[in-house]
Amino acid sequence: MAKETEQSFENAIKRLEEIVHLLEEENPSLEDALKLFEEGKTLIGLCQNKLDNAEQKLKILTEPDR
Amino acid sequence: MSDQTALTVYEITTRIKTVLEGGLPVLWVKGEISQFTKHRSGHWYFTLKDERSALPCVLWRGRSDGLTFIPQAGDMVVAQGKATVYERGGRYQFDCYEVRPAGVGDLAQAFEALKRKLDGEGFFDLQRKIQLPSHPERIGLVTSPEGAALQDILRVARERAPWVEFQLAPAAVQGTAAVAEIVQAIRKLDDSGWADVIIIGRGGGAPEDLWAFNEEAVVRAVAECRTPIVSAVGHEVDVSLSDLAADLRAPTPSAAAEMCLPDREALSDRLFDYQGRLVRVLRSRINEYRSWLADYAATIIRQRVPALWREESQRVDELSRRLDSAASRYVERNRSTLDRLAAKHSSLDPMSILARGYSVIKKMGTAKPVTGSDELNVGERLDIKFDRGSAEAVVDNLNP
Repeated sequence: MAKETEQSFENAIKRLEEIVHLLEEENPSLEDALKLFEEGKTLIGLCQNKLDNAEQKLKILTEPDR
Repeated sequence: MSDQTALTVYEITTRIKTVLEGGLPVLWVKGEISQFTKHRSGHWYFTLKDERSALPCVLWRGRSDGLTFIPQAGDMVVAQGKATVYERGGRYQFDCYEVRPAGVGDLAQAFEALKRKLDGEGFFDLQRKIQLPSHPERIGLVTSPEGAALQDILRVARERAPWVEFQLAPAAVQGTAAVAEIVQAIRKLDDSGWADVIIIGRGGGAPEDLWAFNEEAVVRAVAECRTPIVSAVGHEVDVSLSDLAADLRAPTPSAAAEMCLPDREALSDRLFDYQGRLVRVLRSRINEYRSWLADYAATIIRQRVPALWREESQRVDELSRRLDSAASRYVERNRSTLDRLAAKHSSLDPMSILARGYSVIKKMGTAKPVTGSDELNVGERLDIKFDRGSAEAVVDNLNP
């Protein structure tokens, strides 16, 4: 799961904050508002399911060459 | 042998004095304090001994003022001074400039010296520090695979952010191999570029046990690490040089996990808040548009272009139907969260955090909360707000 392709949490949260700001402060047209709403909803879905179904992964790299 | 050639006591004593004091430079002597008296005059009189001999010592009042360490019988110490002859008493003594505890003293001195040196090379400069990501998903760990530190970090992470992945680059945290292994582990993780944040550290121990994290090679590796790096060595009270060189110092390994990882609970509340705001804003946009259509635009459009008006109002109805279904689906899906949030005082309200034991600190007479010790100066008056009541305090010590 390369870092770039997968929408990282960090970017999702940042974009979400942007969307909420745009909707609340910038007063977009109705069409744009709905598009932003849809994008926001999918982002929230992505983040929420990451929170809900996750179990910890630990990988131990090879021992240092003694 | 005749009387004339014999020396007087004074002459022989001065001869001894010149030979002795001329022959021995200022030296460091190590020994155990066998008896120690601090004379009313402020002068220190004590004896240093080892298995085979004893050395009477004196430390004149002026020199003892600067010393914080007051030796007691049985202490192993190192003393710097010069051998001199006390003519009146007819004996030699060690005229001391400084006395320090042996062992720990050396370590503390070495720490300060190393700290000055590395500080001089800019390892601790604030502008080197990199900002940590607020939602890391991949954490690199440099610690002992068998140590408590690893388990503490993983335990905290399971509760707070179970989706976060870890990669452990194992390294001895004390003993001869420690330094090389820690440096190698940091480099390996940093070069791979996999981690969003690297945490290095270990659990508590004696100063010697933590020493690897003061070694220059480790401090250099930490300072030069391109990935944001957190250092958590020992307990709250222990500060190691790698802590100072890191982008963030955590008092303990588990605190490091708490400081790096977002909290699942707070995060889902925040997502929930965003959802609510999205729906609210969109609903108001639709209602605005609908009322605009209903009155002003309707009269004009209906008269000239009835078709356009019908089409426009139908589009609005379609939009609001979509919104209503989205809103109701959203409400349905979040029934449980809605109840939970309603029941629990909203964690988004900053003041509710106070109830969980945090406090808000402001400089006296200012409104903005203080977020870093770098904003403060010693002696400044602070206003601290708790969940219940507040307090005034004066800053007496600052750590980066």
